[in-house]
Amino acid sequence: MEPTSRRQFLKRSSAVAAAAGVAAAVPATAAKALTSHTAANPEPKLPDDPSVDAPVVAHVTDVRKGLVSLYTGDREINVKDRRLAAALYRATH
Amino acid sequence: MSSHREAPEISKDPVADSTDLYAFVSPDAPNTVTLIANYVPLQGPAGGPNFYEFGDDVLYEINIDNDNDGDVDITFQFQFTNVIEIGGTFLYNIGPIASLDSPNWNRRQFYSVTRIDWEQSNQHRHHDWHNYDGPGIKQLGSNLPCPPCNIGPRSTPNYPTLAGQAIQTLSDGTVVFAGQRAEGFYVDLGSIFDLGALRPIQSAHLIPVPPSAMAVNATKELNVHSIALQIPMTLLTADGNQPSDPTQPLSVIGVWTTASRQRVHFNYQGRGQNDPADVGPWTQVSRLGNPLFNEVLVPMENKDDWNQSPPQNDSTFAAGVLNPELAKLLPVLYPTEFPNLAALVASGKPRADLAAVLLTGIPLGVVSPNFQNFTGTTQADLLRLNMAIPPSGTPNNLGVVGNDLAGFPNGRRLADDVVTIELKAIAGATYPLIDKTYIPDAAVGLVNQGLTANGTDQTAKGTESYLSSFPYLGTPHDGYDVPAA
Repeated sequence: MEPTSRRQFLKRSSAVAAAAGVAAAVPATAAKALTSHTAANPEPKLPDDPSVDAPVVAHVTDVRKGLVSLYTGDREINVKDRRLAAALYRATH
Repeated sequence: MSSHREAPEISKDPVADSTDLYAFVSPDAPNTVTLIANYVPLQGPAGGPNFYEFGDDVLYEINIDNDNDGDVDITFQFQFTNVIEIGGTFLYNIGPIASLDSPNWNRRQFYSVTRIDWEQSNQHRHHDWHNYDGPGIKQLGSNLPCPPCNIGPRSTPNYPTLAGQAIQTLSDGTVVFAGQRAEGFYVDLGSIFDLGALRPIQSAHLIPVPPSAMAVNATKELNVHSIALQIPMTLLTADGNQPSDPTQPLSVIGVWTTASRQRVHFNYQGRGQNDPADVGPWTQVSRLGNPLFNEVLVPMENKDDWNQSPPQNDSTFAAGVLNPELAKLLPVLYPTEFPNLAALVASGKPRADLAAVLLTGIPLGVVSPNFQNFTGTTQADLLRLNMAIPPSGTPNNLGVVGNDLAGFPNGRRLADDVVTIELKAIAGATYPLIDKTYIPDAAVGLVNQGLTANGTDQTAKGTESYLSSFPYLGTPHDGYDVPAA
């Protein structure tokens, strides 16, 4: 089974952002970092259904490598995205 | 204790803490096997107004290996939900609860049962799956009621009948019960953890204290929460046949129970939301196969890791079985009583007898020409049951050590004195199985926690309420009468 307990997970987190729709839980300056959009990079459209209200937790496991684990429902989605990891770091510092 | 609060992390999480696991051929239905997994340890019966219940954020599982590789083949999953029926009151009930649909009962609990046949499913065996549909995965029952806790004669009159209403038959014929029961495990815990004191031989202890004549059952008159299944054997065997030949490998199953929590838990603050949220894959936080394995054989710093690992990785923990710390301590604590054990320890020979009993099962012919519960060479802490061994008409609470092949470590029955059995085994009683020249110390015969009068005593102090039929564990003690004035 998975080698990480709930408490250990929380203890070891280098950065955890929890939100019902990520941006709702971060401070305004951080939200700006996460939500700055340009004409070339418009805000993605969200589906019009209850799934957007489900909690999402991001666990930045290695900010330099851009490793982020996303948890929602009973799923874990591992992504490698340096921009996302950096944005989450800035949002929490 | 058997596995009550046996590791640092799980000791702080009682609803996920597996305390005991039982597996035996049902004495009154010998074509079936009864599996009982207990959780939520050390319940004082008067524990209201928030009486004990299963965790609604915990995934409980009973796992079965039926093809001798130490890996899971069948899983029964249990998930619970709570319902406030009345509201506007702090009370668990506002009048007598005479039936499971009583309008007087405020806080109720329901559960679902799902069976997974991993060979047929397309899911990864070790969680990270999140799909209840598909081949090999079948929900056997939903919205099944738990009984209330046994509160007292005014609130829960005629409790046995009330609890009996919670015995349900699932869609495949498996019988299930989930709810409060009287603790069935017995142990003189206060003595054993006071530097290994065994009251029957404590006069020989390194640190003399005034003798205490009577053993004390530390779990007397406490309750526990049980998940019990009675399953036709044909639904458990790999070939679908009724096991009849104890020498056949497929007559043996290995059983273990687990509890898992979702990877992340957080609490909302404010916003009127008082329900915590859990997200992510299910992550194992508790495990139990043989009694006392994690408790006694795994060093404290590794106990949490053991709880999170699957049995087929137990070679990682085999050192604690092959060279058990308690075998080293006994000759120190009782300087005159265990010279042969001391010599065995000093020799450095690995305890292959304990490894067979706990990690691989006992090969054919070691104990008896027609007995085995061997599940292959994979070292895994499984509670192994040879289902072709019929129930004993005169059970011996020392199980196989007492020449009763229907008892521990061939499965485990409620009254089996597993503490005494394992103490005797670690003290050297089972080493002659692999070395005929070894003579156990005379004191091994005296090693006993002293809670049973003899081998046929099925009424250990405080556990005399075993039932003769499913779910076998006794009616829980009620909070009005226990503790007594």
